[in-house]
Amino acid sequence: MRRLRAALVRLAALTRRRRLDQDLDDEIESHFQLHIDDNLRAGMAPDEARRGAILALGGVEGTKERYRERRGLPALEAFAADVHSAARSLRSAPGFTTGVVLMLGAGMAATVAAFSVVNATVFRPTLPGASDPETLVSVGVFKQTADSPYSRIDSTYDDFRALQNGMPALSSLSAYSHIRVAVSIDGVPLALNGALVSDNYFDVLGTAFTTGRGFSEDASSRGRSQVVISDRFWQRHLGGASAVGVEIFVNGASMLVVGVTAAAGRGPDVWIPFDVAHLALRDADGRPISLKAAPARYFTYQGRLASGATIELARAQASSVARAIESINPSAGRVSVGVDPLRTGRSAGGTAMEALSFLSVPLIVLAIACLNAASLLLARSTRRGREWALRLALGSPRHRLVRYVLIESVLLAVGASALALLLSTPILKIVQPYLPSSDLVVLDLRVVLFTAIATLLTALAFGLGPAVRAVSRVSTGGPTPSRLSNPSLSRTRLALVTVQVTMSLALLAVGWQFVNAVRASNAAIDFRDPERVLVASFDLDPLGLPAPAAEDLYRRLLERALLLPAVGAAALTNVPIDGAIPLQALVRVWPQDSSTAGERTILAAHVEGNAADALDLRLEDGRWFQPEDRTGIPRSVVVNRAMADREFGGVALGRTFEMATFDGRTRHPVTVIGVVASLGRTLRSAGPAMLLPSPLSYAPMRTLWLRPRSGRSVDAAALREAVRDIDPRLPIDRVTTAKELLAIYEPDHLGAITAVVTLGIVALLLSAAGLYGLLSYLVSMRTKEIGIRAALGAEPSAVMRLIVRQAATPVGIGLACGAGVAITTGIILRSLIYDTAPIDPVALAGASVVLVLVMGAAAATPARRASRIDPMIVLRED
Amino acid sequence: MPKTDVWQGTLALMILKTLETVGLLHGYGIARRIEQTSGNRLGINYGTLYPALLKLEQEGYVTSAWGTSENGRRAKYYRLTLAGRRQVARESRAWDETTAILARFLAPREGS
Repeated sequence: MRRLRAALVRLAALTRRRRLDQDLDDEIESHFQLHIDDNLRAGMAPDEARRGAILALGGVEGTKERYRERRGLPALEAFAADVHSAARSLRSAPGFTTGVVLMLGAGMAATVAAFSVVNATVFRPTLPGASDPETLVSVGVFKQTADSPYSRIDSTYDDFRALQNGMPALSSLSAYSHIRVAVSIDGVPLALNGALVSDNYFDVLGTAFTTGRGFSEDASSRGRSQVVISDRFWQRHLGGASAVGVEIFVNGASMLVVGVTAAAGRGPDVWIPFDVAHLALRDADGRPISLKAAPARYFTYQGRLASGATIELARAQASSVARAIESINPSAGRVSVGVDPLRTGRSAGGTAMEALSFLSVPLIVLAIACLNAASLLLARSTRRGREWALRLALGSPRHRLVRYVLIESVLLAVGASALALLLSTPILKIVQPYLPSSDLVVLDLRVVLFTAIATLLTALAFGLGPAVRAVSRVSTGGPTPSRLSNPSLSRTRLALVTVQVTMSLALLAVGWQFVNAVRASNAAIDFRDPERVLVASFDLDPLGLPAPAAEDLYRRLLERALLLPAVGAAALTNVPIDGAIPLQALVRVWPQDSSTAGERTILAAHVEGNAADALDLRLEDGRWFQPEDRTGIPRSVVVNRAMADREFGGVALGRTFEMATFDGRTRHPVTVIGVVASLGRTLRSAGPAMLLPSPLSYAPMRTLWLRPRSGRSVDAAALREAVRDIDPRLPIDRVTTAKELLAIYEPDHLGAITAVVTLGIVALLLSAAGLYGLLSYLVSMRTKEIGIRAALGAEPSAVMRLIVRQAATPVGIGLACGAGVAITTGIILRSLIYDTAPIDPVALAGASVVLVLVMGAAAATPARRASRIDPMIVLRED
Repeated sequence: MPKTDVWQGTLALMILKTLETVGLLHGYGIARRIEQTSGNRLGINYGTLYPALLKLEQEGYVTSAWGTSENGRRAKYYRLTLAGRRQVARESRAWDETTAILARFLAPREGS
């Protein structure tokens, strides 16, 4: 207690040293006076009295020193002095300090931002708000396949019942399946993420509700269809007003809101129970289907262990359930049922891999920044050999010098993390729109700490090594260390620059290629005036019309729409505006030969009306469909550029191939009559796809696109009126604009590409800084040598060549390695992202040229400086 | 007669005891008083006195304040705190015990 008190008092004393010093001076002075007075009284002469007092005290400065040591905390004070001195030394080298802090800060900011995104989208608990997570288990139906020992398979309602009944170790089991829903509130349609859940879903998880509750146990006792909405949905679309009892339309059906779940990260906005599953589920022909009759789909099962039951018991029971599932569905083959503790905070392996690949690029930039910082630190510590020698000669212990260098590194790292924190918020703002999740991405303290520690370690690793080496080489009192460049040190630095050039080229080349791909894809989504184009979706399925009557109704709808005074162009397609692509929009084709090997499944949208104008599709070659093409089964097709390139080597016009419905019916030959640049996002196809003049098989869902004449606008009310004219029963699922529609589909990998390009440019600048640092260092190391060369008659141009040659080695090796890395990356990414060549030679060559130019610029200044070295000045030194 | 140096660790107790007896005293006075109490047999290095006083003050056994001496000099005066008084009692007891034990070792054996 007393010791703690003393330590605190000593700590406090550090803050008012000056006043306490004055106090000490006064006390010692007072002591002298009292002693001298005494001595005088004892009859001493004044001189003698004073000398006696000093002797008795045992030295004034020694006393004060001992006193001060006792007063403060000497170790801490020495540390503070080192920090102070390191800060001053960094301030006196503003170029070095700014460079290192900027480089490390940029790398850290990118990493911090990326970690934050991953943190918010991947590592967020998947089931926020669930109570007693430790008794929750996840149950999955797996199948052994050739590719992976266990892959989760789709399951049916019967499988769910078998799981529920066959595992007494679980007190309850719930089922969850993701669906897309169209919700309309006061006539405003919204496309949202939804979930189809078993009635007990919220009870099993113990979900917290802001207001209301989950679904009532007995579906038959419900007066109305029930729906649960998320807090986010409630706030955003119902304005946070009283929600329970409010009616909303989900996929066209009126439903009653019974509960609002408490605020939780990402996840669905709308939950509907099994008894209304037909609102979301469709059979192979696109007709609504009840859950019991629906084909297998992807279900997530979550249950609770009964009290006293263990997970091992549940697993034992699971194996007999697996046999039951096999007997329900013999075609499934051998399945297994897994029971695992529900991981609420960690993502599955797949998403972890995604996160890692997402993080890899910022980490590379951070690595480059660290290498650069290390390179500059190396140069600095070598240049300071004289300073170390002086400090050692003055009696500073070696460890103290090493500590001092470490403090400098730490200060740099701290500056960099401060900068990173400042930078990462704007970076997050920039990338936010590209993220699939609309959740606010927040800076995570763990992320910041992680990055700070990582940079700190790097700063230490690279600061410590050279410091220890430089200090240990310096001998006290001996000759000052050699000013000549240290060969091994230079080799390290050359290697560092080479690695950087490699990384820069790889990032630039891959980024360049991405940009090309995005430009091509942007051309595809380049849609004229999307805000003016009205899009409406229809589903004739509830009317139960026979196919010919339905086709006739749609034909009349198209004709009627064209009569609207403001409409310039109208088109109908069978690709719905939300939800998955229906089976009817997929066809099998045999472009090259009729064997199974030549078979492909591709998107084939049928378009009627003026698709070129309404959907803004651009014909590259050939012609559009004529009325005669639209009679009977389709005989002619328009393919997109991707299909023409992939299947017909670029020349598709006039080619004939076989085509059949997805299930293999009506196989017949078709001829390519036209090629469009792209079907773009309007028909949701970046890959090979084609257009058909008439439906290959009946699809009850259609989408109507209306482009107004210039200067006019089509409003939804006019459209609704027109639809009522044709048939008042004809339901409009949704009316929206093309702009809203295009905005829903997240730009493919655009965020990642923007990031790669940005980081590539950053990496290039960092490499340039690295090369500049290396050459400046070499020039300063070789100043004397260059001076002698100049004195012996070397031309300035020869000196410049000497320095440029130093740069050529790392840049040359880096270019070769970088090209290799870029091609490898391209091969890996090809399968993941764009259907392009492993590496575009133009992109690689372009990136190399840019790199060489920038590196040349970086080398120019040090080379010029070297060529201007005046031998007279240099030789007069020392 | 040669003066004995103050034994390790005993200076603090001497200071505390002096302040307990005198009440209020400056550093120089404390040193002189200790010398006088020892019958001038102890020699205090005045330079060690002040760090010792500082330590006692940091531990909360004494407090200090500036005042004026009897001959009109400005001086820093020390006095015991309540904790200091308790510490004197504690230390004295411990010292008594130590000396008693030591005395038993040094005393001629009974019956020999």
